Amino acid sequence: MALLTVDRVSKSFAGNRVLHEVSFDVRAGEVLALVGENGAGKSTVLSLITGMQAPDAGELRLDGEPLRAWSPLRARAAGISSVHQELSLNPHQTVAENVFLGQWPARRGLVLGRDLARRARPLLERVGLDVDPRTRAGRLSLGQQQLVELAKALVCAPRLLILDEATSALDDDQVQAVFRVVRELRAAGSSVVTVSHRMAELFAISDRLTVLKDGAVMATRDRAGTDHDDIVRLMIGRELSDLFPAKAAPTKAATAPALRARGLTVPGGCAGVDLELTPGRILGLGGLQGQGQRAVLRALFGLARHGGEIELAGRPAKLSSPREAIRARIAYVPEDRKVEGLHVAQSVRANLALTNLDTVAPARRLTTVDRNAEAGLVADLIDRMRIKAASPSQEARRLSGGNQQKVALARWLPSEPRVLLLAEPTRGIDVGTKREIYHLLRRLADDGVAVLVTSGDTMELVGLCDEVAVMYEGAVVERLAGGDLTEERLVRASVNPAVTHA
Amino acid sequence: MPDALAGRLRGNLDVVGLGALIVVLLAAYSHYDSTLFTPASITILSAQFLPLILAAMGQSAVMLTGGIDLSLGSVLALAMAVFAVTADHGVPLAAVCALAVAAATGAVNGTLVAFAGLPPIIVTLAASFLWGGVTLIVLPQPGGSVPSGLVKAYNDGWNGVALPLVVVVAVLVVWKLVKTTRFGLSLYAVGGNEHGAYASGVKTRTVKISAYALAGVFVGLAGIGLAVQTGSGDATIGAPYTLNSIAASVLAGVSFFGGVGQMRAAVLAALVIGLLTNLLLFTGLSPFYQLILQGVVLIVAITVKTFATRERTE
Repeated sequence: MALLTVDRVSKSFAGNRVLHEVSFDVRAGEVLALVGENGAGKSTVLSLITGMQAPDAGELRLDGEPLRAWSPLRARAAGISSVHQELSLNPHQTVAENVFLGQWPARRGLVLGRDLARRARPLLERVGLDVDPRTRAGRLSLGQQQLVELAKALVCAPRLLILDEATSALDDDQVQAVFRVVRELRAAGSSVVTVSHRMAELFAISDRLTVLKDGAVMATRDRAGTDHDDIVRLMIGRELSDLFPAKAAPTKAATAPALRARGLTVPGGCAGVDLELTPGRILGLGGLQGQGQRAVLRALFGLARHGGEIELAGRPAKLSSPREAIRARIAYVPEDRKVEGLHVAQSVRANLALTNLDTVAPARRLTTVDRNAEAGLVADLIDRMRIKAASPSQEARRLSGGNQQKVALARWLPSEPRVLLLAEPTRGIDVGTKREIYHLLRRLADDGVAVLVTSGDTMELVGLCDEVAVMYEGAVVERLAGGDLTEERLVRASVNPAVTHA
Repeated sequence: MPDALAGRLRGNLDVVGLGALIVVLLAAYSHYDSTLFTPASITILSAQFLPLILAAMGQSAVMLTGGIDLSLGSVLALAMAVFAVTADHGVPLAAVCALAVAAATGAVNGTLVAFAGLPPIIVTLAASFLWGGVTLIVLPQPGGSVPSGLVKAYNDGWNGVALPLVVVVAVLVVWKLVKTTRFGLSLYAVGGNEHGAYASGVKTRTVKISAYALAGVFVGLAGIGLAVQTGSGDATIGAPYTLNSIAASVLAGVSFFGGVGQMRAAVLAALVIGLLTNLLLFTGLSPFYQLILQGVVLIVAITVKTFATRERTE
């Protein structure tokens, strides 16, 4: 008997089709894993179930009854709770206040702190969290906050629990505590839908796996009837080895680094980071989200005030503004391409020309734009990067995410950067374009560019990079290269820096 | 226990800091006015400061949800005008009318912010013109009919009791209760993480509308206070309260992003601004220099405060 049925559901955002006729069901008393790449549509499906979004077409049924006028409030009332990777906690309120967020037990209209703390304690115990319920939530570590989210989801004794990357910041012990809760729920006849990048965890806990790719269901498999390679093949639609280019051969003679940072520190971001970016090599910055990777990139591009020493090609350098960084031939493709990377309301042509005004608007023309030179440059880049735009005058915001990213990257190429910094270069991008970007980055590296990439996608870091520096709370805690660079080692170093150091 | 005490002090850095600032201001003040600590003087001063204190509380209530109210001064004047015009039908009725109007304007602001998804700064800026115009229709010329007995009792004390002081204490007690209700917790939850609150089933729109309406009540009280203090209504008197209330809220440590702030600190901050204004008046400086000094003092105070709290949140 299906507890929840998702029936031919479709959903688009601003013309981008995110889900296309997705169907699957969740049986009572089972653990179903939803797997797929970033941008495959997992989070969107979950947001439909929790009432955060409404489907454009198709319907969802709970106990055979179609869901109408669905909202987070109704979903909760129907016994659906969820834990998301993006924390829904209010850092300024106490742990207990957060556990009961939205459903604070009141006595004669008043919510008493003492009472809240007393009721929160058994829930915190159940998720294996030993903290004072009266601490402010913002003071806890990321992992502890995630467990508070789980405790919060258990308040209403859920019939369906949704875990969306709910273990991303947890260490092994904490993951076991989550597993224990999941098994208890299953034994009591409740169902769990789980999404995780950690494939091993999915195999350890789920009964069935449903694979999504580019917004469509590829297959649903029983756990016993599948394996890791099978699932990955379904996820990316091809063999993994084909997705990533071959890595750089270990250089015999040590190449001088294009950029060397010593003790790079950004207040509130990162502290004492040492990096060497070498021509021909792709270095990755791994770790959990928000451990200072962004600060490192922003500092190296002169966007964040920083301390420490930076050397460019062996010479001490100061990077106190993006202008200086660009002059030093450093290029930056930011995480939020719509804010820092592109002028979305402007044309593809204007976006590509902006970083190359020195070429297309030279001093001898009194810095007016040479339209012929501009047209030539733009046509060449569109061709080289295979940017799919209706015409160079199309607004950047009308492009697909993958093509926007190509424009964000292409605009730097004419200046032939020595150092290329990229944050989450393939987030929200389809597999085909991902593959193109991976191969392009490798070609650039082979041509002598030093590349630095941050990514939350462990598969991407392992597949693409020659070396990965794992960050935790603003510091590099581990460096993995060669045979040590595996998804398992990377995940462990990300959440358990103390153990790997010991 | 010293640890516990130190922890408490650190937790209430805003209140402690503002308290210290007030002590300094009072010391300087008593230098110019030796009758400062007499009951009569306290009554007069609290009558003078009440409107700003209540306005700051209204502004803080909105800012706690992550919003801002630029129409505060206009609504204050509107409540003042409504009270002054209807006062000859009986003070209680007039007070109810003024508060109802002020709460309704707040609810309209809140509805536009919550449902139309418009930025609070735009909505309330537009609303400030709207309510300003309405006020002029209600009361084209300064005037009205506030009973002189009430004016005297308010400004000179009623049987030796400073009425404005009673109002402030009462409002703070009410706020303390509101803060412990589900609504109060929702208010802080929406301000601290709106998306998270929504995903947890909090009716974020209702909370926002209620917050703006509650702010309307505070501002309505401020308007009534001002009408009683001056003995009449004046459509043009409200304007400075908008920016002063924002200055007081910021000085009190209420975050522009919502979710952080204490009402008692807002009360103290309004007191600081009021005392500072009076004190500068005493110095006999030209009004131009008074404005410059007031601006400099506020900037310094807010800068110091920001650095102090930044340390705290490491």
